[in-house]
Amino acid sequence: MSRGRRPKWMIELGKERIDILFNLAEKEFSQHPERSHRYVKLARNISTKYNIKMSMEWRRRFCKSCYKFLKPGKNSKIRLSNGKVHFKCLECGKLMRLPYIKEKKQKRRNKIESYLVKKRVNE
Amino acid sequence: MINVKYFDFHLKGKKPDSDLALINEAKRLGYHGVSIFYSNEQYNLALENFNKIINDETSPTHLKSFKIDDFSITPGIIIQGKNPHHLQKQIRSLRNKTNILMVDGGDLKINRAACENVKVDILSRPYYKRRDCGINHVLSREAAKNNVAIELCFNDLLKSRNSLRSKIIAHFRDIIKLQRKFHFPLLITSGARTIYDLRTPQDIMALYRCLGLNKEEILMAISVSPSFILDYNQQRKDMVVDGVKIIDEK
Amino acid sequence: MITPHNIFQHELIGLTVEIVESSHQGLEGIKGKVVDETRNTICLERPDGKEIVVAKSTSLFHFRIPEGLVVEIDGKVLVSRPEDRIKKKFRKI
Repeated sequence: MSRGRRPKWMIELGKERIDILFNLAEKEFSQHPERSHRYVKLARNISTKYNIKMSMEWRRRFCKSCYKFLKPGKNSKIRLSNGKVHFKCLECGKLMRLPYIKEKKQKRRNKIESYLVKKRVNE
Repeated sequence: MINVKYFDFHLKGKKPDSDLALINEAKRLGYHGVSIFYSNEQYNLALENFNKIINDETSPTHLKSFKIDDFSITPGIIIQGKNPHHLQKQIRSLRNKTNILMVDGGDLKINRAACENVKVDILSRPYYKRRDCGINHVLSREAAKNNVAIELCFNDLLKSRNSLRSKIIAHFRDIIKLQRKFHFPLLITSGARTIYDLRTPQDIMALYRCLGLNKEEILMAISVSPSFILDYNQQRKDMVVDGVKIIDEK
Repeated sequence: MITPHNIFQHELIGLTVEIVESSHQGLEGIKGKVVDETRNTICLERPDGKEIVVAKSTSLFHFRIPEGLVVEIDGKVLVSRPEDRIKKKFRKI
């Protein structure tokens, strides 16, 4: 097989498999945390092999340094500070920071709009 | 010895009347099942004809193989490929149409293409019009891998004489030698065109005993591997790839 | 979607499975859920909670896919790393 992009059906299959694995990881975490760590590893294997991006919802559910599954409140801590979301992995102590500028901008826009609406009502 | 079922896996079909005569004669001689082969053009016509016969006698069954009083008849298609590419094309188009697919060998390239194809059931007469037996260690390994049976046709012995006959016997011996080493399925058939080409199973077994096959090998060739081919082709519909099978809900 | 036509390339973890044949007779007839997979083995969890590791190459499995169909798979087909199974070539019949 040539390098680079894989055929479309392989990528679709890989996406489905990643989804299954993460759902299972979430389900099994309360009883068998070691299994869910293993599933993250398998899902990452697939995604690196076939150049598949993980979906937004799963990308922040594992630690980028020790690749363990993160469950907020159990083995991770999530805080907001300085315009970023801080994910702290309590297994290895690594801090992931993801900006939330999009949401902030949306908030600003909403604010301005609500002002304008109020103005119109007052006039 | 009681439970052994004898099969004759190569009758050549020509006309409806003579086919029926052939089948009846085979039944009289003590076979438990035959397979009758047509070329692609004649196949549909023959099927229609068979259907008529069955409808007359018993309740209609599905077309691909049928039984008349515990005597199983399986119509099949024989392919004469001009070159490997043409052969592959034909195999692809005819595989779902019939139950048993046979390739008429002879040319070394055709033999090879047939042995390498999983969709082929039988390679007929690889030694035909050749100076050697038509298969070698490479082909036999492929045939064993892909479960392609190799046929020894009794009609060739019957219709030839003198030096040609001795050569064909030598070819048979070569094939048997290869079979002992690589264990591909072997088939012993009559290749009969008329009722006079048919012999009883005991006769044929005795003849092949003379050519160097032992008792177990002959039983394998005349009853076990034909019934295996029949069973396997019943399942082929449910097989997705090799080793994966869909099973109905219990 | 897991269908009979792509189950050998799809994720096996999470499916229920029964071992029909095995070279080790004690394993025959065992039912369970797949919890882990490596290149040569499958790890099952039995209903009573015990985990057992089964070699793929010597067993015959009946997988039950989520829609309820049962698919029989020869273990020899599955021998490869779980992520490599997507691009592995299978012999079509």
